[in-house]
Amino acid sequence: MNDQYVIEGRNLHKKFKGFSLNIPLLQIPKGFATALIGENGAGKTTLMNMIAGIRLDYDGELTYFGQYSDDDREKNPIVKNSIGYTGTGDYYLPQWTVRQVEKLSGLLFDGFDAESFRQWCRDLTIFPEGRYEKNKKVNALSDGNRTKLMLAGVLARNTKMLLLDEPASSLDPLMRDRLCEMIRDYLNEDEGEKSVFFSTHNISDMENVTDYAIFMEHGIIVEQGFVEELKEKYILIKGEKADETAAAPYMYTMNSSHYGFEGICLSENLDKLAGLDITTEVPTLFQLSVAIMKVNSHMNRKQR
Amino acid sequence: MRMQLKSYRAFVAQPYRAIEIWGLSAILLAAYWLLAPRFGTTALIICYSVYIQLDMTWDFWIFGGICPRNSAKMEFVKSSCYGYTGLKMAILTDQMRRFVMFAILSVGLMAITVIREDRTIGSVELWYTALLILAPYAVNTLLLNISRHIEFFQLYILVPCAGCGFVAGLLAAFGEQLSDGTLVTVKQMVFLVILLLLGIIGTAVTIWHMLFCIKRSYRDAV
Repeated sequence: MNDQYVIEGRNLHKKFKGFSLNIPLLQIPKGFATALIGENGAGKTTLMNMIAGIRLDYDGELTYFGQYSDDDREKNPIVKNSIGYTGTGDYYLPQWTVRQVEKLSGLLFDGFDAESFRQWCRDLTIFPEGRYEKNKKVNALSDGNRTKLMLAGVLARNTKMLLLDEPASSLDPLMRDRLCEMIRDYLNEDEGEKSVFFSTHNISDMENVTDYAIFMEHGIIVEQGFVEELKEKYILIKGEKADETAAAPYMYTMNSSHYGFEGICLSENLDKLAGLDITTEVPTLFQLSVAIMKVNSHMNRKQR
Repeated sequence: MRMQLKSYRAFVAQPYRAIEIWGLSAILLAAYWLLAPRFGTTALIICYSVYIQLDMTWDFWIFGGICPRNSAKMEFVKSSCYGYTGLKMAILTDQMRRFVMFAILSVGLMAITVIREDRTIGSVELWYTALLILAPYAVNTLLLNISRHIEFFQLYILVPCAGCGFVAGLLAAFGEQLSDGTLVTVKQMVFLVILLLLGIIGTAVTIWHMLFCIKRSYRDAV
């Protein structure tokens, strides 16, 4: 039993509609916030759905909390009860009311606290003036408020892991900041026993809460690691126009302008840029994401 | 049974239950009570047909759109270990509810006919009551296999329109016999048995189909 990882996946494979997902090894560390980053169509939602047990047509094995298999996930309520999953798009039937969401959550999940759900709905200001409008239909809520309703639903449960598929995409900037705060508070409960795994295609909003990052392109994992380690592995280089040609072969990615160039370089290649007039900086996770996605994306391959 | 009712009450909101079970039924019986003295069997056929239309249309706000292949609307339910079972119980209970409602209403309508027209209960009244139960139940149940695939309300209501029209025609075909009080033939008894079988098979097929669609939604289209 390996309890270093909250989720482990081996030889995960799924193929459909001209898309193929192939992950020989997936390891999501326990006690941290892990971001699954990739461009549109990279396979993030496919992977999240497989982990959540919403899609069962895949090959390979998943292990939950160091001890439960994907078979256990379907038969033993403890696994899905311990995972708080939020999806994208139509997660609830549109004709349901908030009261029905509350009742169904109580029916479908052990450990759901209705009072806590109502309080979260008020705290997240889903309804004006902090009210709880139980008769409001789900389809009458905006996309952002629907996302908040999903978050209220999972936070009102006693879970060990949050599995959030693009939680920030429909939220306003203030709510995105609040979401990061909520994730931090969640991780701080239970002395490192809780974990968060979320997907995003725009990491800049979630950067300050991300501990571990997994980058995905075309159904495969192309890079992963703790953010601090990735920021040591890759360096942001800025240099003069005159040095652009000399630097180009050693750069991971490069953007040039009239004045000079800027790009990401692997730390191991930094000594090859000795003698050039460059400055180095620690890249942000956003800059890293763009660089990694650029190197691995279809667009880049077509341009080559 | 308790779990079934709990699931049904969770999936079907209280206002919908109240309107569907009590509201529509009360309106139907009250309308027929008022119209029967003037319009006789025609009032029964029209009132009941409108009820069938409304009952099926109401289904849209409860289970509408659960069957389409790529409908993502069940993700919340599927993220729970109890989701499939809970939905299965709700669908089963809804079918039972549908049959019981048609039975109670049919007996109620026929009772009003007997009282209003000062009749004695004979074979044709009993036969017509059975027709009022079985015909709409069988037709409605079979049409659910189409309607629950439709996600747009404007298209959805065409299905109950067709069903309601068919049932109205069927009831009208025997309406004169009810008015005249003529004897029920052997062929009519056989027709009733066929409707009963259709109802039983239709129930089994519909429930199987609904559960098949839910299980299918756990797999992406290849």
